[in-house]
Amino acid sequence: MSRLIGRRLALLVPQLLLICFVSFLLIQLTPGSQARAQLGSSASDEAVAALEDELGLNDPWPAQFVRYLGGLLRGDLGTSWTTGQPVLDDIARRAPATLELITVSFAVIIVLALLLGLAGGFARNLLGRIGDKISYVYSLMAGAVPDFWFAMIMVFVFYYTFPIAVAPVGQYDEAFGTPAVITGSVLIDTIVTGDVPVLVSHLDHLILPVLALVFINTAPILRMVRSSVGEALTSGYITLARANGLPQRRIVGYALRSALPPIVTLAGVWYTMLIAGAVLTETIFSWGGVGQYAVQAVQSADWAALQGVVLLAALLSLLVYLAIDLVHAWIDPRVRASGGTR
Amino acid sequence: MTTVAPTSTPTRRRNPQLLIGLTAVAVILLVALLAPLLATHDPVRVSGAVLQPPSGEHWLGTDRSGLDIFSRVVYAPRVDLLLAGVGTLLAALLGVPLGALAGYAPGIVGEAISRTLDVVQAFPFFILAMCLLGIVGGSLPNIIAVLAIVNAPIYARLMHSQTRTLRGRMFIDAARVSGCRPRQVILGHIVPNSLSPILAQMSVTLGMSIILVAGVSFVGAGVEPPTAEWGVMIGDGSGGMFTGQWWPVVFPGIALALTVVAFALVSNGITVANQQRSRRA
Repeated sequence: MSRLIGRRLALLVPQLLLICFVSFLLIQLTPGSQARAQLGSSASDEAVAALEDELGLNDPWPAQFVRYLGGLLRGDLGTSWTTGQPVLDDIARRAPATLELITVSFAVIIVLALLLGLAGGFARNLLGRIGDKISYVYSLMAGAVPDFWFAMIMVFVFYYTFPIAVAPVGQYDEAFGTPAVITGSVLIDTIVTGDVPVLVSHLDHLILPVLALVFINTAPILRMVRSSVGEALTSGYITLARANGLPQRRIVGYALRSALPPIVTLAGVWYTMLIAGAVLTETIFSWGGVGQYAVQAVQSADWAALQGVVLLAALLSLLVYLAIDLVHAWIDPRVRASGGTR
Repeated sequence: MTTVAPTSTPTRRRNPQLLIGLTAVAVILLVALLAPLLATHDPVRVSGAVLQPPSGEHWLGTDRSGLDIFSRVVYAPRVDLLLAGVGTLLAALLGVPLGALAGYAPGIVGEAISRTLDVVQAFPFFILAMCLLGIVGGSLPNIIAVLAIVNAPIYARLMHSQTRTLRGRMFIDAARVSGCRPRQVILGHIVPNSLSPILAQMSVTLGMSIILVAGVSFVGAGVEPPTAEWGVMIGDGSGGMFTGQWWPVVFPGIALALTVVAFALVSNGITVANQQRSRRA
């Protein structure tokens, strides 16, 4: 186990470097001079040239990359020109809202997928077959419908047509006051401080974006649970367990245990997919998280902000992948024994 | 010399997904081809009839610039299918050789390629595409290039595992023993025997690329308005969903979803056909 962790962590260093390099390259793609962009089109050519020298834009690219890395190590991701703030501060302020939205959706997705998938895997009768058909049609639809379109349909149905949802703008209604900031996640902060009015308002605002993300993203995990549980149930040891008269609860436990590794992998990968999925969902619900920040950065050509979002999103994904590998080793003795060579 | 598993099927097997999927794709291609005949209005010419609900004159209504939504919906697959199709093809042409090389080359080269691909895949798909297009601009060639870049690792992955599986098979050994060079083994034996999963994946990628193009166009980083493209149309009409004008958003979304479903069915159908074939073999 420790050898596996060592191997995996050793791999992390070149991967991190490569991620930083790709993110560095992104900015090299920007059309025109960065110095010109900073000074505006009315600046003289001499001033632009002077700033280029000062910023080191005329240095060979390895030198520029090392300087970029040095900046990253000091937590310097550049300054957003739309907000005038350091990009890292901007993102840090918005990240809790995004992580909360993703994590709540993810939790709902996993619970739903496990419950429905297990039920489908165990139902061997007519009901099970009907359930399979429904889940097939649902998967086909959920995979084909763009998330931002579905989110807007939800707004139209639950806000405009049947006004049961609150106005889909922001994370809570400011009429109830502003919650104390502890973690930055309104959900956690209001629970900790017992700020019930804001908490209720926040839950009202949370429900539509979460429903939209859940509808789109549950299907693949549900199908994976369904098929791996189905596979486990047809294997010999389950038949043996049944023949020995073990209670259903134990059999579910056994089946789940061996069906778990592929589910964990897909669930982990899907968490990183939600990071991207949240971008448009946040924009539609004016959630004020990192996703909306990224869209605004694209629309206002705020490259430093965009580069920061891309870099941190990739880092987060890489950490999730690392976690998947470690969890895998923990729950699957075969991986553990092989030292992680797949 | 190639060794491909026999493809002819003496007994026809039921594969409704492939049949329905291919028919639907054919219909969509036909709509794209015949768009000028089907369209009732010029898809990019504004008129004074702004935000009209569906009627006899404007079958699916008009948007806030007075553009006819039905005409735009039938013109849109021209742009969307072109971008997604060429992007997917390039992604496969880029990823397949890379993955085959990674799977076939022993030791450090293979490892290096797969770890590099891991890193590219760590960048969330949509964010990377949106960022790249934001920077280089959403011209059609740029969109195609970005689709190719973000999708190529999927093919490399797929081909990598295909190569690893096939490498140990007898006919590959036979080819090697009879003096085939690695290039010949990969191009002549491994790639042809992996065609079915590659085609299945391409059909999925096509659908996903359409969604991706619509997404980046929705935020204004992709296809530029007033081009008739489903994402552009949804983005342009988005404000109406808060105030009750649903038609500029709903119809292009349905057209897009049906198209993606068609390609998903084709993909499932290819996989099923392949299973049927290998079960018989």
